[in-house]
Amino acid sequence: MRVTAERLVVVGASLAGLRAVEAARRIGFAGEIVLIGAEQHPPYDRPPLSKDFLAAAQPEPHYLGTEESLRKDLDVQVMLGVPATALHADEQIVAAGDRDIAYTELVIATGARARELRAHPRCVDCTRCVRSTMRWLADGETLPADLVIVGVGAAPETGWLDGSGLKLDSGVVCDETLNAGPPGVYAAGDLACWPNPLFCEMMRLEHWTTAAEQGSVAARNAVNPAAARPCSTVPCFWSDWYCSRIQLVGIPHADEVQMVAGDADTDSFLALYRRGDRLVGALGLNQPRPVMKLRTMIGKHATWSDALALVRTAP
Amino acid sequence: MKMHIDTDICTGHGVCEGIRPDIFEVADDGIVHLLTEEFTESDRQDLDDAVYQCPTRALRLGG
Repeated sequence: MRVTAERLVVVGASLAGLRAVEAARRIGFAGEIVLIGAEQHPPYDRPPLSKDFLAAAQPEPHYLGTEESLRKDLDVQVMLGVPATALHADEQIVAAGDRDIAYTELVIATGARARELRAHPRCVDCTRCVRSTMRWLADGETLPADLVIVGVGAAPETGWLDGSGLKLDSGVVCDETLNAGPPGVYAAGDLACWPNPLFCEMMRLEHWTTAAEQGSVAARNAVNPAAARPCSTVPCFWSDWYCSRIQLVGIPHADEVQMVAGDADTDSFLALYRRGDRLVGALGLNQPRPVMKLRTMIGKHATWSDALALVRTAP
Repeated sequence: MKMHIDTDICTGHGVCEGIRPDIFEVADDGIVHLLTEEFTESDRQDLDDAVYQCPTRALRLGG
């Protein structure tokens, strides 16, 4: 059954999902909002899971909001612990649990799931097994190792969209405004694959800031398509290693990388990335001030010479 | 309008500076500082965005 009144359905009680419902209310969307989450938890912050969470005596997720605040402050119907299982775009229906939920606008924000290693589970699933073992590489070489850390990334959570008619290609393929094809259907966050107008290339970013930004853009465009704006993003991520912060802004695919401050052998440096005559990226170790200025410059299509001038005149 | 920065919470990720570099600046101390405290109604949307997008929720927009 289709709804006649407006109903925004957000699939994924994630950072992007939360920002989507917040943004819709902030621009005055007065229709119903339904937030569907596969986990029992209200939206929480994931980065601490790999950092503070394991070190804490009594680990608690860092919740971004409570179920009560979502219901009361944002008038959102919250369905937690209910994984979405199918999208019927022709009928504008999301299947979740044993229910069919009709929508007039949809934001897909089911994110990505850490890849699991099925090939040698006994070797890497637990540290105990990994200790004092040998690692066999693809070329036949054997390396003794006390500890093996496997970095195989995350895969977009798009399985429930098989058969939906949406174009899936390492994520949900969107246009510049994050529209995923059918009217009213938008994607945001780790699974959104879209042409970033700033770099004229398809991107899918698993960055915290992108999830927050795209959730907001997708919801605004979904509920007000006449004013849809492109999602123009300077990729940005950081990592805190003890007392050092490493930050990358923009993209590292470049014609030239130039070290403009410090030294790679020290605990502070700044490197710029050039493509053609444009600044496209910057990497800094303990350089928060210039990195953020360079991020702004990248967003404004700054030239390479302007970027060099900025870092050379910086105090 | 008044923008409050909780300097105990701010870790200088600079998301706010990305939104309005003329208002927010991450300084060498790694924390965000305000370049101005004179805001107009036309700034409200951007300031709201900065508050909502702050990774540590260190910003608060008061009346």
